[in-house]
Amino acid sequence: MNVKSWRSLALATTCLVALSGFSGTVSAQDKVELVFRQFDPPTEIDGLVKAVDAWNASHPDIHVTMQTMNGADTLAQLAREVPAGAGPDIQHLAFVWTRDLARSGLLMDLDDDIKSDPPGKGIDDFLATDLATLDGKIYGVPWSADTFAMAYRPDLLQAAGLSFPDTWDDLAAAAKKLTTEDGQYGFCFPAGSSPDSGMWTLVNYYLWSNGSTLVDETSPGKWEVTVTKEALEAAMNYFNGFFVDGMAPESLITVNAWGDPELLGALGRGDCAIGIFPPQTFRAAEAQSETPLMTAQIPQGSVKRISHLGGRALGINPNTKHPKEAWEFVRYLVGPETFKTYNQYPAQKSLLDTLDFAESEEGYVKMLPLAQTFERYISSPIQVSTMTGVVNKEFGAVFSGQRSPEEASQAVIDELNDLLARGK
Amino acid sequence: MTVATSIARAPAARPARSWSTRLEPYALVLPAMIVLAFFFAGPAIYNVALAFQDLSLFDLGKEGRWVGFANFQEVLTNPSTAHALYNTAIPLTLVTVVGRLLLGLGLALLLNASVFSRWRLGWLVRSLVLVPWVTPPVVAVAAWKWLLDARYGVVNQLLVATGIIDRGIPFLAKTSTVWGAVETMLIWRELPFVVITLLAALQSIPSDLREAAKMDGANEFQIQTSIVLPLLKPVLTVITLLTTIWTFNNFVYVWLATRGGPGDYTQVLATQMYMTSFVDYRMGAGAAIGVVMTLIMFVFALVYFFIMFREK
Amino acid sequence: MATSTAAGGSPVGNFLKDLTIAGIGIVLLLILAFPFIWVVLISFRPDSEIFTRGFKLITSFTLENYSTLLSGSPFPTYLRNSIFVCSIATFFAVAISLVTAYGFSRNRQFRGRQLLLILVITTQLFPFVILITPLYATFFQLGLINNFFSLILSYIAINLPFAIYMLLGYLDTIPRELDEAARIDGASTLQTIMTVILPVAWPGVVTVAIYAFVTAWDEFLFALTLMTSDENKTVPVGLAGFFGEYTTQWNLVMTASVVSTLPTLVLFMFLQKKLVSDLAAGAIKQ
Repeated sequence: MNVKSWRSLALATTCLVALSGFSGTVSAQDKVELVFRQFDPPTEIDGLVKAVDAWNASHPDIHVTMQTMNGADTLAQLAREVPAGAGPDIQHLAFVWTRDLARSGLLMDLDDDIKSDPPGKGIDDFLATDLATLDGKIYGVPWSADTFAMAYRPDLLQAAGLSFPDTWDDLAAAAKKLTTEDGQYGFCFPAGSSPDSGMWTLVNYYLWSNGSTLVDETSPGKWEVTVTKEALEAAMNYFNGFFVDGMAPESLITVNAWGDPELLGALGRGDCAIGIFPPQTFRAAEAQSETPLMTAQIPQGSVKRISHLGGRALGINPNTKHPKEAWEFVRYLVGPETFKTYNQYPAQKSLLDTLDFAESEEGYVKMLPLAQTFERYISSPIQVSTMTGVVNKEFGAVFSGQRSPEEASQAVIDELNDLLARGK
Repeated sequence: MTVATSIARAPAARPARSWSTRLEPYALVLPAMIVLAFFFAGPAIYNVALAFQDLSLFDLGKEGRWVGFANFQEVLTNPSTAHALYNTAIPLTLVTVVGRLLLGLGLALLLNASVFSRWRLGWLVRSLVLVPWVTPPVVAVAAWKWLLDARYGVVNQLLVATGIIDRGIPFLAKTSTVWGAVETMLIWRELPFVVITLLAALQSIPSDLREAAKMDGANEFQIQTSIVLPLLKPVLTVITLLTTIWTFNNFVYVWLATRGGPGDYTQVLATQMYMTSFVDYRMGAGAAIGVVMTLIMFVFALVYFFIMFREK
Repeated sequence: MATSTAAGGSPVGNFLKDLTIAGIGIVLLLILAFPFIWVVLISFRPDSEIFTRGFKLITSFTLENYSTLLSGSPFPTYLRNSIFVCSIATFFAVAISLVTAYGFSRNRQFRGRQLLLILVITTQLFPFVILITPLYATFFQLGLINNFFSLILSYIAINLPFAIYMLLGYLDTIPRELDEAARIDGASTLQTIMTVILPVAWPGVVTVAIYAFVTAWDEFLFALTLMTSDENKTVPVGLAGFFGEYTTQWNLVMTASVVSTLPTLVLFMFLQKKLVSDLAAGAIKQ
């Protein structure tokens, strides 16, 4: 190519690039455009897409565009966008983020809207509003709730002559019986060391059900590490026992995600007899399994049976140019119409009562009333995510033989104390 | 002439040039410098400034609380930093860079053989070599995790079938094998770059040099060591420098493969920085780790240039 | 290309030697390519059979993943966006770095040369994850968020340092006599670069172009931060979107990986003959 044609190519490309700079549609003057950002992957949002389409069809003057961005990336993105004056109008939130976002001014105060135009059957019908409250004001409307439950292959348990174990010790005993020579393991769970590993959830279920909690407000304003070294050691020995006695495959030490193929398809393939899943993952596991699966309650500890109440909320951007319309859309999303197609558990008591659960999901149904939020940690001076990182790391160190349970439990307590000291 | 000497040596004086000729080099390098300045100057300063602040992720767009050297003090006295530094320097960087250079050179020399061009297979080998590189990192790591799986992975199945071991090894779960697995993933995916670059350089070696050497009675080995390798030196120098820096700062392989686990066994500086910033939400402390990494690499680059310059 | 003819030895002996080398080479490469080949095989399996008990190479064959990906998901949009952004960014990165490297290579004593070269390499030392925040703010003030121009500019900037260094190395091995011959004929600097240097430096240019394209193609952080609407996403961001907190669409992940490698492979097939330099053929011995 000679110089002339290079020049014209360069010129043409520059024009192209400049033109792309002017891309963007000119919206009709009278139409309100809202952006709603959520973070679930395409497989999980069919029903939500339908609900948004239904809104757009019935609200020609308020058009909602849905954006999807991964949960982990959303926080940083919001933190960059909102101070700069940008960001989506309505944002999908995890329960545990809401207070921190509110504290940094990244969410709009919803109190006035809640009073003048209440969502659902009134804010008191909603679960876990405490997590969305800062200084007495509410910054997010709880949207979906979930908790975890055990899942299992009824046929495999039946073949071994077992009914579903009731306590943690029963679970270990059952797992031993269910581990066979031909590659079937008793109990499979995410034992990874990452800050996003599901091990955190399991550890807390075990500790809480046996009467312990990691940190607590022993007197107003004073937070202490209340879990004892013995309690942590017991938890570590308990879960490590599954690997030591071969009731869970060692490769689970590297598995962090609930939906990891090692866990998700394990029940269906017969690699594991018992597992533990969030609702969406359980549904995916069922889809992949040719034999039916069932859910059951979390095992009981010496004190109680408990799980955590997690979920999602909806918040509004303080930069939004259309706060009234945004609030209307939020009310729509938490309303019964949306939940007809959106297959999450609604975070409202009245709606939960009327919901038709699939038979196989009875484990979740039984656990929801027993579930408690992570509020017990969120008000502490330590970030829950940091606590998660510390706990998962030390449990992982035990599983991989790097530390003994005595050393690891002491390490957890020391680190938590350091973090408390460093916090406010 | 190596790039290092390209930078360092002051050449002999030239006759006086006209005004426009003297400005010419500036005109030529200006566009690139503008782009780089816009892109890196401000943000780099921001990065360094952030390291002296205490700022939460949630307050990212705003100014933090100035804390002087507190972040650096914390980073440098934290025992896990030393552990991460060791991991970053030796298993992550040294082993994989050397691995890539040796394997890459070997493969490039093999693929440069005339048979491939004579049999018109050049396109095939050059394209096959590229395959690992075009695989997205997340897929490369996922594929390797499954290949290394203790029960279903082909690697273990082969090892068990040939009797080398009697049960599958969960490579990523055991501290004795986890680094080997991560290094394999990294080298696998990044090797093509070295091979392609070296192949291109090898192709530029005039064939008459080889002919002359052959006629002087040199055998293949002598040709490679005394003619080919020295001519490859400039390219090897650049590749080594850049891959070292890039690997030292690398986050994605360790993060995707192990997240720094089991426990914190494979924690490297980049993953530690990520966790401090995006799990602990402490952007200032994270930036401090970043600055420490930058300084280490800066010193390395200076020492590297010095050594390369010295040899001339 | 190393075109040494097999000097001496019997035709059969040489053929066997050729066969061995070719055989070893291709087998090694197939082993190297195996993980990717496995991904390709998996993409043709139905979703429920993607992870099987026991390692099976072939199970059932279906094209449903591809049809889901190409007609039932936004992936084709992501592909178009990536091709658009990465091609333009690569072109400009190569063009700018070639001119810049020429400037550094042929002018060895202008004031600030050393300093500028060192500054270029220092840009490689900063982790992007922190740089992105002020860059976001700057682009936002310029109104360039969710505009491909900002992403293209970012990819050019990311690739320039390496491209400049690599090309500088290559250009340094090209003798000055070529330039001077062109100048005597009255060529300007740019003409010299295009007509004399470029043909000889093709292997280096191709290497840099491939590297720039792959780097831009795989880049995630900038694409995620700067392109906020779903229809402006690029392939890596789209791919990450298949991974959810509770479930992952592995069938689509595998299929998308296969599809997303095609543009790079096509580009490379197109460019790889240029990896052979005229220089080696003795073109300069005049």
